[in-house]
Amino acid sequence: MTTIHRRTFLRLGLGAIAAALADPRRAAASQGPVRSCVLLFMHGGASQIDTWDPKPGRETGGGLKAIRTALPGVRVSEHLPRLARRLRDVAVIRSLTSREGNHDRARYLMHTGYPPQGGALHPSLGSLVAASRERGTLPSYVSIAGPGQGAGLLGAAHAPFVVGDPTKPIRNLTPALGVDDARLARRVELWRGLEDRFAARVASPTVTGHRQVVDQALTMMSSPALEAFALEREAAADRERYGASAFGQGCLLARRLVEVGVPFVEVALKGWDTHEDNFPRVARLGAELDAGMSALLDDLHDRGLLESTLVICIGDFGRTPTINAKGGRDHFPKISAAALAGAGIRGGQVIGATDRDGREISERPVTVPDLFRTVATLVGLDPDETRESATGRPVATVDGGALVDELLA
Amino acid sequence: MKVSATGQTGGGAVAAPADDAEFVRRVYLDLVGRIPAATEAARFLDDAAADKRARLVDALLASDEYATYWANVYADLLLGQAQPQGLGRRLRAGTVTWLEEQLGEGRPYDAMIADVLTASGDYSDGGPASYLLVRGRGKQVEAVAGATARIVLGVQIDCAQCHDHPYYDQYKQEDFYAFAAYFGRTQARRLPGGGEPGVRIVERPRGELRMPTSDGGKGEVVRPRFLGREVAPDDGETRREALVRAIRGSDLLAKAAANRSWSMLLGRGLVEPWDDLVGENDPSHPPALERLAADFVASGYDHRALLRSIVLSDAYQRSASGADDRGAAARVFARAAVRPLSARQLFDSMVEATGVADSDRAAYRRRLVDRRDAALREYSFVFADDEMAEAESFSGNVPQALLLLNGDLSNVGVRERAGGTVTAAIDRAEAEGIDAGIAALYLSAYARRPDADELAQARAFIEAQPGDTRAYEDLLYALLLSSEFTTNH
Repeated sequence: MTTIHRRTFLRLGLGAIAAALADPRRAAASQGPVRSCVLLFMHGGASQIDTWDPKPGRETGGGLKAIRTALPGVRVSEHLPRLARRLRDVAVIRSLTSREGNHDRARYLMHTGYPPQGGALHPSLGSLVAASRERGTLPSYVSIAGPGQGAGLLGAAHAPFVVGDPTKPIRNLTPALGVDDARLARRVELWRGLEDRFAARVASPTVTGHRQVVDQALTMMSSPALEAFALEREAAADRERYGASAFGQGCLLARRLVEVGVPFVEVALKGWDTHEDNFPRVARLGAELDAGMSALLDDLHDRGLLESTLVICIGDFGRTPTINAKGGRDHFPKISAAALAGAGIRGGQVIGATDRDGREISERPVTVPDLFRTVATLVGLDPDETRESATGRPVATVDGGALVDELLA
Repeated sequence: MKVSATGQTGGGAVAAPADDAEFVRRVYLDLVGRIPAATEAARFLDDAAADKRARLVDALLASDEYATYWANVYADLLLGQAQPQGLGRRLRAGTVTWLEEQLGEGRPYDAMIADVLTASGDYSDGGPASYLLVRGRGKQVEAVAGATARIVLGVQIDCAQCHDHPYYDQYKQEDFYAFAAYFGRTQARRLPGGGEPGVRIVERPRGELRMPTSDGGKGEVVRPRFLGREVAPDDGETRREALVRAIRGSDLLAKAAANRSWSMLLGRGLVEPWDDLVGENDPSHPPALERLAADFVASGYDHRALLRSIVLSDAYQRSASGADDRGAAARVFARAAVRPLSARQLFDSMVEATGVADSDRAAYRRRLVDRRDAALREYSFVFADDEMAEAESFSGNVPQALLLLNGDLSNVGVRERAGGTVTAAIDRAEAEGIDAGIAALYLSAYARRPDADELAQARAFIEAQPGDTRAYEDLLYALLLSSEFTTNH
């Protein structure tokens, strides 16, 4: 299928297109209601007050305006005008709370649902989803513009495939000069013999994992779905809609990966650690989030994919209501905001509230385990299933928590 | 889980001692960061002397490569694993140079740590001062304090930054800020003046750290205190000097270094994870750690002596062979852990195994040196994309596999060319027969000779392509892609 044809088809919005382009191996697999999940990760910790929970007219609001949204009586920061218009599809949580205020610890928590503890290697949500789905020809967990989080006890086969810059081609995808298919096949055959021999002598998850990732890499090299990485196939206007930033283009790539059936895509928006000069930085970051996420929601919706794709926007933690002497906001795990849309989510609502200065949660606190239990349930994982860690300790999918019923459609 | 290296094995079998081939490869990787060259491996394997392991260890520890490799290990530890670019890269280079000098001349470990923590004044190439600048970026006293407690003392107090420690009542949020207060008057900046990678550390005469209130506002002033113990600066002593005095008086300094080194060399700490020693004089620390730490102190914090006693221990010298019985074997060090090579170990081992550095084509060597940084960055990116990731938590991924499959080093490296490993193997095959050629490749990649089955398999492969020497390239390529090459075992 040529590019023009495909684009025409997509414009027509034919539902069959996604299936036609999809990875054949994955299309055959049985799918629950949530086929894919896109995690938009606000790396560094986004200011909840300057995004989803504005405090206009209060000292803690920093002089930002709050704008009307598609929901009567609900306002968001002036930096999110496009998302404001799409709020009927989005559930906003204004009362997410945690206790981890150190970046590394918080990122671990917000990717795995567990605080780091005693060397236990909790798998990230992305790796859990990847491990629960039939593997296609592309990696099942792709992390764009940020490192994502590892598979922990699930093993290397479910680790994220990291794409640093979504606009650049994936490196090392083609065999070296002078290595044709027949020769590569001969080399791989030899390698398999060596691998069998070593694995028979030295049993180890590291050895098993190495074989799995090399096999995955070989499968990926000849995948027809690689086409999804070619953002240049998109019309210029479509690329611009997402924003020129790594995050915006990452959201576009996320859409294309969802179209071919990749089960979990993470896109990082870096730079939210605004200890200084919060306001100009939040203006830029907010605009990137607004463009990327709203274009993603629109395109998924137009392709009939929003009902099978769960979109989650969270970050390290929230930021202090108090504005410091350098015009910055510091780490504030006590309150942060989350936004969810798509498969299984009842959009058009705000869950939880903070007091008028945003210093305390005044209504319906939601813990990170609450959120992870809800998301795990939505994506078809058993929240209470346990897996054995390397030390023999059982680790459940989710660290307790209670279902956030209101979120569910 | 706290376990003794030599304690009960829970009824399970302990692996046989590592044979010479296992030992020589492992100890080169651990002490100098690369596999042995074929000639080095052969010399050791063919040496009949009873004390050859101890002699090899001493020779490796006396080499420049030891200082260079461990300088990079400590730079990763102090500055984070990410390979920075631009100014950060030059700052890191200055730190590596400084560490190389210290390690090379056998400077005591406690003195090196003291230099890092009490750096003051201008450092034109960063040197020991880069740590305070890099860890304190964004002027975050909390970040330097958390890193110092973890790296130097093996205590994770940074989780008490926002709340009391979740599962030990030992450290309260106030204890974290009291520890951070030792850095409360320190300012680390880049030296003014263009592209110079220098660092200026200034200790202000006054200034207080305040513990933030629960809503992030400015709270009470916190006075410096060391893990709940009063250690105030004496007259004329800066806060950081007082901190170093407290550190040198703590059993955690030696224990953290010993436990970390053990963890790096055996894949798992005596206390796990290595940086979770919890508190001073903790009665639950295993006897093996107490002993290792006491010996380290008695040696005058001699880093070489610490590594030497670990690599000559029974636990280190066990075979990796055995079944995957996870928990039990790992807990008691019943067999050697299989550890993925770090980016640096893998890169340097590829260079060694392919002989690209020995190529007699000068242009090739130049290109390798020129591209070394860029190549290493690529290896580091795909092998350690999380700057805080410890080696043990990393177990491979698809970008890494793609790099091994299709990257420049694996493909160009295996090509037949003068000075390269494949050419040498072909020469051997022509002179002494195919088996000798195969053995040469095994020795280069695996630091061991092939057994009869392996020889037969490889011979069949080579004979299936008569007259085509590319079969030797293919064999080396497959060896380099295999787990036996890409792990330390």
